[in-house]
Amino acid sequence: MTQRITINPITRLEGHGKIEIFLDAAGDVERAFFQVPELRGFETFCLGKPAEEMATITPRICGVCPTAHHMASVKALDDLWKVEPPPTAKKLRELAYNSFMFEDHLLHFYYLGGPDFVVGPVAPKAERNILGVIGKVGLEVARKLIQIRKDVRQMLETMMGKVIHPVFGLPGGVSKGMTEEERAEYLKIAERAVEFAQFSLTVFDSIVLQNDKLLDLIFDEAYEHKTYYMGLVDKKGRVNFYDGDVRVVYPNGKELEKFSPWEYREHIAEHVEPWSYITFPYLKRVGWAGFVDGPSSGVYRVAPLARLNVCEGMATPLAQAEHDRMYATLGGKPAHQTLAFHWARLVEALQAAERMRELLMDSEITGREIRTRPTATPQEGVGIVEAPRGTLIHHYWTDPKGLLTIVNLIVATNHNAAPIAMSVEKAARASIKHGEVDEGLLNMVEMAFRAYDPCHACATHTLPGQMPLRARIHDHEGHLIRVLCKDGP
Amino acid sequence: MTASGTRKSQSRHGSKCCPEETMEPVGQITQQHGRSIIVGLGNTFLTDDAVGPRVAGLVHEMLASPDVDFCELAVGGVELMETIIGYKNAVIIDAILTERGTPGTCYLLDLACCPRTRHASMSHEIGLLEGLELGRRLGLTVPDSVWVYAVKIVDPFAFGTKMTDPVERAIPRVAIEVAAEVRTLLCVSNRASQAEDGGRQEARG
Repeated sequence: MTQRITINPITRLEGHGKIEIFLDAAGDVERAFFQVPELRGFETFCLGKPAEEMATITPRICGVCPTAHHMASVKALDDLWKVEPPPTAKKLRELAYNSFMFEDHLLHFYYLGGPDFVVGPVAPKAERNILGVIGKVGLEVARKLIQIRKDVRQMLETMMGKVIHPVFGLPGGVSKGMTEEERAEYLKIAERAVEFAQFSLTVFDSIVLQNDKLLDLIFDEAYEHKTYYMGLVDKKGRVNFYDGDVRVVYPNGKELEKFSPWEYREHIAEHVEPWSYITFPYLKRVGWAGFVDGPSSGVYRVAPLARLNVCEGMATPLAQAEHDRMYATLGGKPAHQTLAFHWARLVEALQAAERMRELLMDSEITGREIRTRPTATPQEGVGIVEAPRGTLIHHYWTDPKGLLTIVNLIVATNHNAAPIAMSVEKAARASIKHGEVDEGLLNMVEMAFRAYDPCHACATHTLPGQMPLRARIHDHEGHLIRVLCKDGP
Repeated sequence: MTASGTRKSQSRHGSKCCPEETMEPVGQITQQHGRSIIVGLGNTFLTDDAVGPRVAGLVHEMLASPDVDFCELAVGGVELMETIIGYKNAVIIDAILTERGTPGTCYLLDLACCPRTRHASMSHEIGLLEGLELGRRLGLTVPDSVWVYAVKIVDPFAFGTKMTDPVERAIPRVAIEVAAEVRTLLCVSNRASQAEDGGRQEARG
């Protein structure tokens, strides 16, 4: 069979998605490729720069998760200079990070994933957006959402400087402490954050879980992959966004391995394909077996559901109760339903809010010792955090003067690249039978990849801001037979 | 909200105003009474993508007004909407890729003609119009006037702090033109508000 795969550089538009689907002689899907141009070359751009600048440079990789890059970078700098931040500094960092996780997860649920579930997957296109969500949940909820996000972001701005360009973390600590007055003010915000996270779970319950059709959708085999999972856990094996060891579990939930950030290169390798700029990480110990799931394939998933799948439990009590309820509904742990990422995201938002409250109730957070000055000669450092979209790795090498000689970043969407490709292919298979193309193909594909909350179009800011999506369908001889578009009004 | 025709920034335009309901502020969201904001959209590490923040910063300096704030954002969407809420006027300066036109040309975009975001699928994807409509429905004070300037660029993809030559060369000229036009727009907008306030007071009297 002749396969024609075209990677057209002109599609390197911000966030442009392109799908190439190849049919077999019977008109069914033989392969489908989801291509989104990835911004590459950032590592090279950083070479020769002073390592300490990475904490302010890397947040500009992506306008969506600058705090995640900032924190991963700061941790890599700690390691580079072999310096341990004082307890107060660690708590301030963790507070900032949990606040960021909370507001980012809410953003995704209400603005991005929400339309699929809250409004409904078959609702008219014009309603499947935040305005449709408001129509369902009511204006008052939307006002509260805007307010709590604004409060949390203002708190982050006071703590970290600009949210998009944080100047907070330094090797060995942070640049600014917290006053008792600020602690009292922020504690009120944290209380409201916990309430809103709990409320959001009740919204999910009443609108999604009480709706049989939506529940069926979550369990639909078209949205399921039995993969390995990866995420950070603390010493007790609980979910931790800021720190810990990396744990990996088999598709059956048993632990495959647990390793420190320093050891990641012994466990993760990257596969490349000629049709994509994106690399596809896989588990070295299992090996690359292609875009397939199962215990013999090294493909793994990261992000909210993966984090919950790898943990022994949540780190906070309310989130633990929601964790238990989720797995009771999904049929046990691990859960493989891709659309359950949305649910797990809300459970995590609750943990983040509870952790904010816990940290703000700790009097040590207003301590004065906020930095340990680095004195060692830098050489190599690794920092890992859990970004909202999954495990984020920063690895730097420097010369003795601290100038960068090698930089390696593995971002969350990289880890999930193979599963996203698999999900898209599965959705395509479900939508095309005997050459008949279901008009809902693009919606199914979108739902599949949106659950991962991918961030392919880093550092973009399109106006009006929609993601063009095109599916090109080829017959068994490679001829283009149909193009489906979703890129205009 | 002001809607104006798509044209190069060199030309003047006549604004037309749409009637709007009076909205009450929500909660503690800050009100910027009578203030304006200039937002530079873009990533200063992505070659020509830096043009928005660069031009916006210069325009802000040229206006030298205590009533005008400046902000740099790397993404639009929700953050953009949340940033401009409470301001009376917003000027957004961004980069644009077009098939035709000369790099460095500045356009004043017609918001009314911008296609709406129909279906968000990534964190970046809440369009400006959708964001403003959202703000309005929530009863937030959205700006009376929003002007979007876009500078035609060459390369917004490569990591680098040096812009391409034609875009770099155009920055001073574009900044002067935009500053002059914005100064006029803000004066017109303020006069209209004063007239409106005067009319209300007369009606009360």
